[in-house]
Amino acid sequence: MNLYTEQVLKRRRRIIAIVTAFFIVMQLLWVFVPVIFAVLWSLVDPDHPWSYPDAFPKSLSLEQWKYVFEYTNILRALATSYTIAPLATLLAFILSLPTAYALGRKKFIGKQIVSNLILLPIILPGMVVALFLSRVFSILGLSQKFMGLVVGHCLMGMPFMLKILTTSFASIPQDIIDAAENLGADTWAKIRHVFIPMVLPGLFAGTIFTFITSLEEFNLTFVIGTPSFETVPTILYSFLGYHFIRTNAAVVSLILMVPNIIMLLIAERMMKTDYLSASLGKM
Amino acid sequence: MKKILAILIIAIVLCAPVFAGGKKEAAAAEKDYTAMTFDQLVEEAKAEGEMVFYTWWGENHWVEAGKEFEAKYGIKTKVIVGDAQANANKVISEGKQASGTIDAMMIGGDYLKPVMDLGLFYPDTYKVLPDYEKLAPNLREYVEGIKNNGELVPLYRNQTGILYNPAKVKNPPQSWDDLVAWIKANPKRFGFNDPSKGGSGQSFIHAAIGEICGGLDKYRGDKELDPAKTANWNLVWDWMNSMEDYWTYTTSNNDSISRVNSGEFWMTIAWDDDTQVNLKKGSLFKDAVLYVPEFGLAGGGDCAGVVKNSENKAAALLFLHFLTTPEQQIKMNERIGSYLARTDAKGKMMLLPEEQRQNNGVAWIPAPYKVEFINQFVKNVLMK
Repeated sequence: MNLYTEQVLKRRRRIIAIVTAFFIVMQLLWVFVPVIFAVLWSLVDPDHPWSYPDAFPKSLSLEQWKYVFEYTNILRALATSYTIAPLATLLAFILSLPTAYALGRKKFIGKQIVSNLILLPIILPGMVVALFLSRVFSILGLSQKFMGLVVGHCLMGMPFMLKILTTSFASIPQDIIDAAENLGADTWAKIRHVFIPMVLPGLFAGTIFTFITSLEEFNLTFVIGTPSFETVPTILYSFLGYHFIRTNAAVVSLILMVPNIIMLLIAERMMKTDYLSASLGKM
Repeated sequence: MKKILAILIIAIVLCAPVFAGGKKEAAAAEKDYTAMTFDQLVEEAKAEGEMVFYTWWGENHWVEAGKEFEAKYGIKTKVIVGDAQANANKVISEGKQASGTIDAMMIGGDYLKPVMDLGLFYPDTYKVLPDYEKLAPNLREYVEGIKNNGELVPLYRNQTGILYNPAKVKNPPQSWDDLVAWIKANPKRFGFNDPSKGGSGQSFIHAAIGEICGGLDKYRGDKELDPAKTANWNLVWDWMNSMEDYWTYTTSNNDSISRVNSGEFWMTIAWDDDTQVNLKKGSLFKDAVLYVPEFGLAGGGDCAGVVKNSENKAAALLFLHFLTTPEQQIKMNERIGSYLARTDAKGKMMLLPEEQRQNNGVAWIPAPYKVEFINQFVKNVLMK
């Protein structure tokens, strides 16, 4: 390798290193700066306001945290939210699976209409859906009931689960199913070795969407759940909505962040590359 | 997989009774509370034993008041701090049921009309509460142009004003022309919120309509919107569009205050109670000044009512009475900065002098007009 080529390569490596470092720094800023500011705002001492031109609060205290814990049922709401979300997700999966299979793999009249109707709960404004459903839930005796909330959250999250699973089922190449059959695979073997690995990434994505939809669901929970049940969004609305105050909003956001980070770490573990390769038939 | 499913199903079944809530099945038989003495009302309320109050802000006061009410009367009190619109939607959605889940609720003028039109509040509140006559007379008659009928109990009064940074604004404007001149001389140092996201922005537009479209008196007393009276509002929207480079729209009442605190704005429109809360929380510098300019800005207050299909009407009525006692009114003023609805008691937290409040405070025009100017602003200014 001559000197010129070596210099060019060195320069290229340096540029790549600088660009990479730039993007890493930007990513860190993008992610951490808001978190750092949230932490600082949550620690502002009420007696020493954090105002322009101060770059940092003059004095820190835990008063803002005490306030949120004293005047909201945030811990109970967290427990309720994180109990409902997995149950609603599981129920959405159980109910979606056969429908998604039919929509993804079978041909029937009205398939497109059914496919579009599924999206109604997420197309209509949340409060409209909540008000219509509240009457039905009331008649069925599901208002102010824990099971009612699980069913309600399941209904709100199902369009995501159903749509993603339908796409996953539809994208399985018929060749692979035929090949499995030619090799003597029975129905169970096809489910285990073809369908499950191939729909797993879709199932995972659907689970995340449904879970998050449940965690963020406000309207239906507020109408059919409160006052018996409070979830995190029903508490958040008073802090992050109409009467947004930075100090309180910072505390609530940070409280919410902890379980979400744990969830993301679990998701990270589950999103192993072998699932993706499995979906491409390379397992 | 089967094992996991089985465990989860068992967990659901076991958890359900733990989390199961719910109200009594049948509504209490309608009783004539107007025929009861106060002591009888207390006994009746104690017999009911519980009540639920819905509000949308000021959680520290309502929660504390709930605890104090519970301690005094032994009536279990639950305070739900939700969203103003969602609260109204919920009470409407439960309106046709024999019994609802809300016993009493605070309601803002923006959402009052449909609830009053549907007759969802207990009508005889004013006959039952012993101190009703001692509450703010203006709110007892009309709330933002909607006739009260004695169904609603005024809980507090509040007032919008101009909030400014005294280090940057030496001569705060008193007339409309002075304000406009100041805004033009200090581009992007003034802002107000989208009126669909809070009353302080509404107050600024309210003032602009009064100044540009020939005063506010012509709207007073109207129960329905008269399109002839809004025909020249396009003048306001044209003027606002021409001012777009001089000011900034914010997302909420408190967002405007935050921007004064962060140095972006030198002046904004704010509620007195929101300003007080921000001062108390350390999210606004202590020397910020609020005043009501001579050209006038809107003020009013909020009320609460007992819901007609409540199962715990006596407890709800007693709670509203409790909230309007002088002791609770003074505590409310200390905790959330709102001005007392009670006229025979005085609070300590006086951000605005009473004289300024009386002389420069302006009553809101009727709610149908308010709803209309919010919609027209969004359509003709924000969406342009």
